[in-house]
Amino acid sequence: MEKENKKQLDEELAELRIRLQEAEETISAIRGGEVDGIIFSGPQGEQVFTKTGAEQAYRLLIEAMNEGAVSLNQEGMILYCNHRFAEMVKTPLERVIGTPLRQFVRASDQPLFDALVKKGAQESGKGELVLIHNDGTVLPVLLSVSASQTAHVRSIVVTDLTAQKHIADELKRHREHLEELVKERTNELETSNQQLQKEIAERKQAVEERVNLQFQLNQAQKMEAIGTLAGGIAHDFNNILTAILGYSEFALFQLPEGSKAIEDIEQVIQSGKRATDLVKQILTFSRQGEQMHKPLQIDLVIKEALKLLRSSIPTTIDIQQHVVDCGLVMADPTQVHQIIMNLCTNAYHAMRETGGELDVSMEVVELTKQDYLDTLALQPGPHVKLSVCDTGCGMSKELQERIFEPYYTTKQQGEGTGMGLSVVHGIIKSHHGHITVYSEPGKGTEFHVYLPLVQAQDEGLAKEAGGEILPGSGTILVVDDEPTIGEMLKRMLNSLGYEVLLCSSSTEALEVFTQQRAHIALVLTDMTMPVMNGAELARRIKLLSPTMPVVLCTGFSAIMDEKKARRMGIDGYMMKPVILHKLAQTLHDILEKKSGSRPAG
Amino acid sequence: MENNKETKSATQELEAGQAKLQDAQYVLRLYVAGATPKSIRAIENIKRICEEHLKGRYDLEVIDIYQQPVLAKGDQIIAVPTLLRKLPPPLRKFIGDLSATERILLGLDLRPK
Ligand SMILES: Nc1ncnc2c1ncn2[C@@H]1O[C@H](COP(=O)(O)OP(=O)(O)OP(=O)(O)O)[C@@H](O)[C@H]1O
Ligand SMILES: [Mg+2]
Repeated sequence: MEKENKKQLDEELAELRIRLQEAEETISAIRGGEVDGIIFSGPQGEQVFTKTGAEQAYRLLIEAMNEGAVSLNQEGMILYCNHRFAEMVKTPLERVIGTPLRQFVRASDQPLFDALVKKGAQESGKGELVLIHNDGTVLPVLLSVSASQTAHVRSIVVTDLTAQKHIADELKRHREHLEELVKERTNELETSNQQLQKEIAERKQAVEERVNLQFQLNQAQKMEAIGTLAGGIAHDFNNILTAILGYSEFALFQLPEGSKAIEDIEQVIQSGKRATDLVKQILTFSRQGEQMHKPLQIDLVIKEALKLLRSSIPTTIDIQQHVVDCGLVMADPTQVHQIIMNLCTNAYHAMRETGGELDVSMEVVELTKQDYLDTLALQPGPHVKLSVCDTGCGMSKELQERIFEPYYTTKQQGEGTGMGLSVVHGIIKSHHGHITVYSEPGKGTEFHVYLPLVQAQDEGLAKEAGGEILPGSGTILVVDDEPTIGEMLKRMLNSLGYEVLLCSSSTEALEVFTQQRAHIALVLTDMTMPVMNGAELARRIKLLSPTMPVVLCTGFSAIMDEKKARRMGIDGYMMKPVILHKLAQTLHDILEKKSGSRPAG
Repeated sequence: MENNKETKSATQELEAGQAKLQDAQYVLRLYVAGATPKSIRAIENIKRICEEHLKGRYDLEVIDIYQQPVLAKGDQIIAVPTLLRKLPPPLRKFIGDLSATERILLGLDLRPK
């Protein structure tokens, strides 16, 4: 224990001795001038005192620097500055030291300067500002303020930025110029690129349009050719049927009651009527049929047709309808009925085995130039779009191209005539509309029908025929260049109780009329005749006698339809073959009206 | 310098491990005051001593008190140049330009006692 204590005391003593020795050495070294500097630690931090000449190397460096060097005291007074700084502020050295540095700083930069110097107490900082010379010129500089480690002296290095600024400005100008060039070039490229894209798109569109138009044109021409051909045949056919039906009816009229021939002739008439229907269909397709266009709310007709369809189509087919009032269309109700019946029947057939959904919908669409350009057939403006969609077997592209041709069918003999869509096509054309088809095999088919909406209302309503055969009296002037038909008409009229003056040409008729117009109650004329057609004859007669009723009779006319006829003042318009009861009705109506209006006029 | 004997007796245990010092790593720190003549000499002297006697096993730091006065405070330096023997212990200080080579070698325990 004691021994250990002694040892520890010995060690401490030895340490103290060494310390004492070091202290003595230090003092003697300082006294003997063996040291260059002494450090004092005090409340203001460490201060270093060095002998004269100790700082010389630094001084030389500082004076040789191209930067300004400045020391400030706490009040911002310049304690020391090098020659370069004096040059920078264009002030003699001896006048700079002892003055505040702030006075050389531009007023607007003084807050920044104050902040830098204040911050310099803790850490170094840099800032760009402008010095003002004694003569008023300015100098952009960078101030680097060093954190003071000894005492409260700020050391500041001042770098002249004039050259840098100049170079920076140059660089900036240069860069801006380059950027401008790049931008210009980019813009140019972009514009030409856009132009190119546009041209490509336009060219592509033009090609597509041409192909599309060519296709449409081909289709239209094909349908037109078929239509003309069919129309021509139907016309001839019509004349023959007129004779067959006329004479048959006439024969029927003459037969005594109970005669066995009555039934036979009725069969002839029946077949003749069926043939007439067929001819009518062909004429409808070739747009030469009888038409009664009037402003029509077609949704009513469609609803009616769908009611009929619902009762005849099995429930495996779900009928969805969105049939709404879309406004008026100049249309023949019977034909609109026919459109919807044909389209829906086809849809039903396509879904017969599988069942499915039949969707009938209507909407108003505004067609623009682009739309009608595509279809060739439509005018821009509001249209009713009627869509009939099914989920049936669908059609291939090749099939789609042929479906509107008359007699084109994929159905077995006896099941389909192939006239359905041809008729629909013809009707729509005559209504200045258009039909499109979209179909995918196995998925279904959509038909879209576009019909122009009536904008300015047109009142041209015709009265429907029907009912029993109405007899009459008075003299009728009959004109037909076809002797058999003329003869037949005469007999028909006679049978109804009329007297007949028969002429086989319009010139002859005009002569007869001039001579005997007092006895004539009505003129019944064929349309297509040599020299002077029915319309011209009617015009001349009306010149001679404006109140004289004229009935026009035609089998086929591209230049004449009921509306046109009425506009010309023609009182009646009849399609061949002329059916007895229709003839009776027409004449009866006109003559009744005439006699009814006579007292008033 | 005369105290060497006392030091020896007082540090018997350390002396026992004298042999070990042959391989000991030295960490020395020299405080100078910039490029003053004595500071320059001190740098030159200690560099020479280290190269001759401690080659490969010393680490010498030279510190300018203008640049890092705080370090001087930590090491309780009051005058420069001063050499500090930081390792191996004990801590020793040598003041002056370090031209008394023998005394330095003794102080660094690089002379047999
Ligand atoms: N909705 C549909 N889905 C699939 N195929 C259809 C559709 N509509 C028409 N077709 C095809 O178009 C053909 C022609 O149709 P179109 O109505 O003109 O004649 P059809 O139906 O065969 O006979 P018709 O209507 O005269 O009784 C059809 O035979 C059928 O192949
Ligand atoms: Mg059909």
